Amino acid sequence: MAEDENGRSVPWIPVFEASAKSFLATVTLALLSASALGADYHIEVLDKNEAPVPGVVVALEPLDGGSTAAPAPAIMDQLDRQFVPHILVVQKGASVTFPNSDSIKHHVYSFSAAKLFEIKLFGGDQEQEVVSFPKAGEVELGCNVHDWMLGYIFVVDTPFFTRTNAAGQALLAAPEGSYELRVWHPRIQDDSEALTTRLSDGQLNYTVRLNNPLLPPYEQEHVGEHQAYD
Amino acid sequence: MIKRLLFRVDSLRARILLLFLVTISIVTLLTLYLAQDAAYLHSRQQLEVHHLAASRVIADRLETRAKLLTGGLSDLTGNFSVKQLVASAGEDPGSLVAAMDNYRRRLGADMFAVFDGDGQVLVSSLPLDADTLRPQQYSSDELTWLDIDKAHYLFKTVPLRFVENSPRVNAWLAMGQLSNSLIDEELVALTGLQVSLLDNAERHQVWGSTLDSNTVVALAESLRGVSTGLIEVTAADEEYIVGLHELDSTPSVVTMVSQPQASAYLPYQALLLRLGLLLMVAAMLAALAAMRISLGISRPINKLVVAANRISRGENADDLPKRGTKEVSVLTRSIIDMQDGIREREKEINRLAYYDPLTNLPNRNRFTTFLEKSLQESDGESLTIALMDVDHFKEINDTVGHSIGDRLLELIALRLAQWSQDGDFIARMGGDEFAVITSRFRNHNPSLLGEEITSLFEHVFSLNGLQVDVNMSVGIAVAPEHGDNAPLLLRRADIAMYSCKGGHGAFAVYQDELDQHSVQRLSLMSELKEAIADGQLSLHYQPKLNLVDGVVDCAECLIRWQHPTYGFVRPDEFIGLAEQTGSIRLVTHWALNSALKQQAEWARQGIKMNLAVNISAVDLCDMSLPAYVGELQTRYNLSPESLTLEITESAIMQDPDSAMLALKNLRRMGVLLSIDDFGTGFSSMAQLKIMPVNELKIDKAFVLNLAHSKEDRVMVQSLVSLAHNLGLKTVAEGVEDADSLEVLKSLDCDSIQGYHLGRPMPVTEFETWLEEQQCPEVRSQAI
Repeated sequence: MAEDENGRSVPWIPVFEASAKSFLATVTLALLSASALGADYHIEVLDKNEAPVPGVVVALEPLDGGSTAAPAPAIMDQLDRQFVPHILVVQKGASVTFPNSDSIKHHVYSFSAAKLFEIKLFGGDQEQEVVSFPKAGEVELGCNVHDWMLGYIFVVDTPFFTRTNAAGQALLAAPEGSYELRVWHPRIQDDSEALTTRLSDGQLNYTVRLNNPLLPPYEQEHVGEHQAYD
Repeated sequence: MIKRLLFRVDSLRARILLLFLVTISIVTLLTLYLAQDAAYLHSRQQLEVHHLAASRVIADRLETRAKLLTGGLSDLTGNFSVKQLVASAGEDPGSLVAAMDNYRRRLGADMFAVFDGDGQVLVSSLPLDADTLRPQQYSSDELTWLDIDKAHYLFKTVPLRFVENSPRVNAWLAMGQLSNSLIDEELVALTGLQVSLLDNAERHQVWGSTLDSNTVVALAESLRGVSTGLIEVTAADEEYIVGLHELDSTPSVVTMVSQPQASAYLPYQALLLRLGLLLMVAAMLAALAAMRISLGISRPINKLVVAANRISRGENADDLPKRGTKEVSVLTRSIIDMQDGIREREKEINRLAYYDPLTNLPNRNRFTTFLEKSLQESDGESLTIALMDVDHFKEINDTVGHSIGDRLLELIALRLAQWSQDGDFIARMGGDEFAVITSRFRNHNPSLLGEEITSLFEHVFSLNGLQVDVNMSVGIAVAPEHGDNAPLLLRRADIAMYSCKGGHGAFAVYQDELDQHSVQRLSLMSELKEAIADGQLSLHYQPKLNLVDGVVDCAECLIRWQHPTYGFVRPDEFIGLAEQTGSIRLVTHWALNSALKQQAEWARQGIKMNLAVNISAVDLCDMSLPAYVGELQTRYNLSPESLTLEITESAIMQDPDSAMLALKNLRRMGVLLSIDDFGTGFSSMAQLKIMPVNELKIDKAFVLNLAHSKEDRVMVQSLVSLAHNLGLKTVAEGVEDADSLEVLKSLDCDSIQGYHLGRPMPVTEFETWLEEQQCPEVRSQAI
């Protein structure tokens, strides 16, 4: 099983086959356009057993001066008593709106160092709270009244970020410059600094290998009552 | 051992008792031993179960406590405020400390700590060695322990996640409880035991205990190296039963439950005590039963022993056991039978010993005993005894046969019995002798008794058609004047009886003279031998006249004893005695020797004189007599027919067969034989016919009165003709007058002898008489 963009579980093998074809096409495309549009970096994340790790956040942080691009706002919804999406990646300084699509109230909070906040019991009919994330890092979200709810907002200090596909691969286009490749996923136990790679000139393919086993995947143990009867 | 002891104990009762007691003791001891063993085992098992249960209770208590801590901590980790405080611990640790202390109190814990996700101490109530402490090690469900500054804590941690469903742990909350606060009196109440918690190392460290510290330390010291089990140890001068159990979850910790041994085994010892008492009572009852049984056996046996002893002493044994076992009953029956048998035999023996079987009268023994008894009891009063025998009983017996003789004795006894009155005592003394003891003649002349007894026998006895006239000789003696003891009285009665022997219907009362005479007679016998040697005896010669040729050609030799003290002793006084004592042989031999010597002397003088010598029945049985006679005749050169041996008819009739043999021998030698006193005995004609004798000597009883008695004349005539017809010569003795001589001549008697011719004379006188006879006038005068 793999997770799609929305963190939902989908069968990944057909996706992999399709991706493999597009991967070859993409590689060819990247080689051809490297000099003109900057570079397309191909990044692969493998676990200890050389198995691809899908859904991993990959980001290229520029080392020479910050990006000027304004961060795009994002939404972390509460739907069916889950955070949707499960993992949200935003650029530093981005504002994230926390709507409530459920009929019940939620109490969203984070005690993570990157952002401490709390949205006390609120419903969907109330004014939507907007929280800005000025600090890069992981923000773990919880709901004080629904213990099973878990969500992540990963704040990166770059506009160049994406997530690995079902084959554990990601293609990331970035203008010329020097970058650090960062990978993150809540299941990865390896020290994040150890996984951070400084990109070399002219090298476009990078493989990140995990030394520690992945944490167990997040499972929606405590499904909402509506969903339970869907 | 027991066997030797049993051998020593002789009495049956003691043996049975001992055997019982030994058996009971063995059973008792065995039971006690087994019961003790079983009770001990049971008691110990109970203890083990109890201790195990107690250790479970303790473990349970500890686990409950751990769960309580974990549960409390889990509640805290979900607490949003706590999360907030933990999240802000970096900036505001004081708030977290205050909150945690608050929750510590709530949970009743002794310490708390909060660690961050990496195990670093955020806050703690006690200084912790964070380098070695891994909080996750204390988060299991089991008991976990932490040593802090030499104190032991039940230490539990619970992970805290800011977001509950996060895979990462953000912090650890921890609470600790002191081990000694876990062990409290409530556990004592629950388990009934003293409870301790020890480190399960070589040296048990005490983690907590309800015992006082000295005791628990001492116990721990005693249990060094021991990790589990039920152990009896002595600590602080007291014995304890201790159960050690490792905690299942943490074997490094052991629970120790303990109790004083006294209280542990109290029910067990009480049980033993009760059992012991029960067995003692049982043993006592058994001993009583044994005693009763053994008494039941031994008491009758003892009674039987007493009875047997009484019987052996000749006493009457009546106290015999009436009840008892079968064996005892059989034994009792046997003893009763034995006693009856003994009584019967005693009676029979008594009868045989004291009664005459023929007449059923008391015998001599009984008579003597009774006489002695009566003398003792008579108290000086006079007592008369009579001793009697049947005259000529032997002859009667020989004539009529022994069975009729016995019958005669029975009849005599019957007459005496019929005559006797109360108080009289009649006995058969033996043979034909009877005796009477009576006190009836106390105040009368004792002769009356003699008269009464003799009168009893005046009537003849009728025996199988035979009329037998019996003469009794009765001797009477009176106590105490004739003697105060039985032997003396008997002897004197005997003397009296003897003195009247021969008379018809004679009795005699004892007189002293009789006794003296008797004494003389007895001493004579002892002196007779001496008298022969001393020449006190002499022969007198009585002439016999041959009526055929009118010459005195024969003389009868008669023995005379001139005793130096008593003077003349009559022949009938000592000859009869000599016959009885056997000394008659000496006398006969002496007489034969003297006679033949004299005959030889006369032959030398030219006097031819046949001599007649009397021999007794005893001599007749003496087979050496013919040889002796032959020897003498050879010695003195005499012809055999010059000697005539005179034998009384009664002597021959005592033993006719032997007499016949002896007579034949003598006759064969040529010696002439004459039957003396013929007519008074009981010779049968048949015997007379074959008797090898030469002459019959007609008894003087027929001759003395011959001149005046027609009957005597007929008798003598018959005898003479009888003798002549048998070829025998006749001699009449006791011729005392001329008339008788004339009668005899007319009756063809061959020879005569008597005072009319000449009395017995000593040698010299006889010689003189003989010379006178040579003168024809004298001779014719005499004849």
